[in-house]
Amino acid sequence: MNTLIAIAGILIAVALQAHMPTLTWIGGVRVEFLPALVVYAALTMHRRRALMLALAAGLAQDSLSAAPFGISALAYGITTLVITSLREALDRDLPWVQWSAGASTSLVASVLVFFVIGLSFGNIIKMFLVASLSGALTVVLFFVADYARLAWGFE
Amino acid sequence: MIVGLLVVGWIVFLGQPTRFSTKLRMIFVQLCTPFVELGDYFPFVQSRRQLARENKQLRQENDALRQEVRALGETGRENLRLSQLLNVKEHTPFRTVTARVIGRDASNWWRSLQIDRGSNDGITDNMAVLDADGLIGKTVSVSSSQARVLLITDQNCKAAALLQDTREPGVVSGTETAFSISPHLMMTYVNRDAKVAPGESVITSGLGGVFPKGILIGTTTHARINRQTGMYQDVDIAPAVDFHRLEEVIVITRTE
Repeated sequence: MNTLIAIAGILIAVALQAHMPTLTWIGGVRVEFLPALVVYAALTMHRRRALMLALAAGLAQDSLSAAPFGISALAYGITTLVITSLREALDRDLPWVQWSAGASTSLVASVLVFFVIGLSFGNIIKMFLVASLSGALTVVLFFVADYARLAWGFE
Repeated sequence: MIVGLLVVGWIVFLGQPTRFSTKLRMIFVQLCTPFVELGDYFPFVQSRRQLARENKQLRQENDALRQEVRALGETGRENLRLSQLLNVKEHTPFRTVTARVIGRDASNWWRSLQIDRGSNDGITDNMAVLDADGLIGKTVSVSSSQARVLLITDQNCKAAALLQDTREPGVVSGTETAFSISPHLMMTYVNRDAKVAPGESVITSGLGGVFPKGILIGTTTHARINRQTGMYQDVDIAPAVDFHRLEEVIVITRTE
């Protein structure tokens, strides 16, 4: 996959994230596109490049948020390291693997956030809602991106 | 790779907020903002933007008048109290900057907005932000041409407040509740003997120096004794502002 396309994807995804309204029909959470992109990069690209993109994605997200700068980058970096380490054992084409990886990435980010904002029942419910959404979005992204790569011949 | 992660970890846990992390954040903000502003051209927001532009003049005038009426109401109450004390004080107007909302928070865990005005327009950190309906929040991480507004519904944004009728003080901040769809506010440290009537207005008290006195925050809905300490009341507040539909805001750059 072309690195420039990946960077453009990250910038567009984070801008979309900053424009998305909260979804009232699923408990007032907002769709997060970046965990899906991070997982896709981790299961597709070279480890170092995937890590760089994960860090860039996290920093881009934090720059458009009131979050402590770097907290998402740390979460995405950790999950990228773990996923790339397990890549041999994971079948990236299985939807449940994609879903689990996307949800786990979101969960790690949420757990790090709890060190800053504290833990509450409401936050735990929200964490699982966000993780489920991210997992589902990861499956969709794999389907679309793999199809696009086949169609247009990206590496 | 490990070094990269360590650097990020250092930024988060040890070095917050450092000059390096602030500069790095600004670089990323400058990189991402053009893409955020592209959001105006997304089909699902374009028509709303056009309508907003057409009505902008009328709304600004309306907002100013409503804010003035509210300020006059609070001034009247203040005058009554001060007259009783034979110590009349002049009510000074605010100096403000109007800004357009160009983005929301990219994360699910914080509640903030990005506005299209920054330090070039006289905005600095910790300035109060409001609209015609009431208090919105305060500015954080300001760059030259944009700023981030931490909403009062965020757990990290706290405002010294008063119950308008009983004059009971407290602290208002956002709370996260399970299956909460609309933003939720809570006023804590309210005297446990205070009589809190549902529907009573809650305003900023002016303590703390960030939020000027008399800005409407919301109305009380429910009060209960704090279960952990038993010494204070916690008061649920319905925000005066519809945080889902913010398009233009007013930043108070000077209070005197």
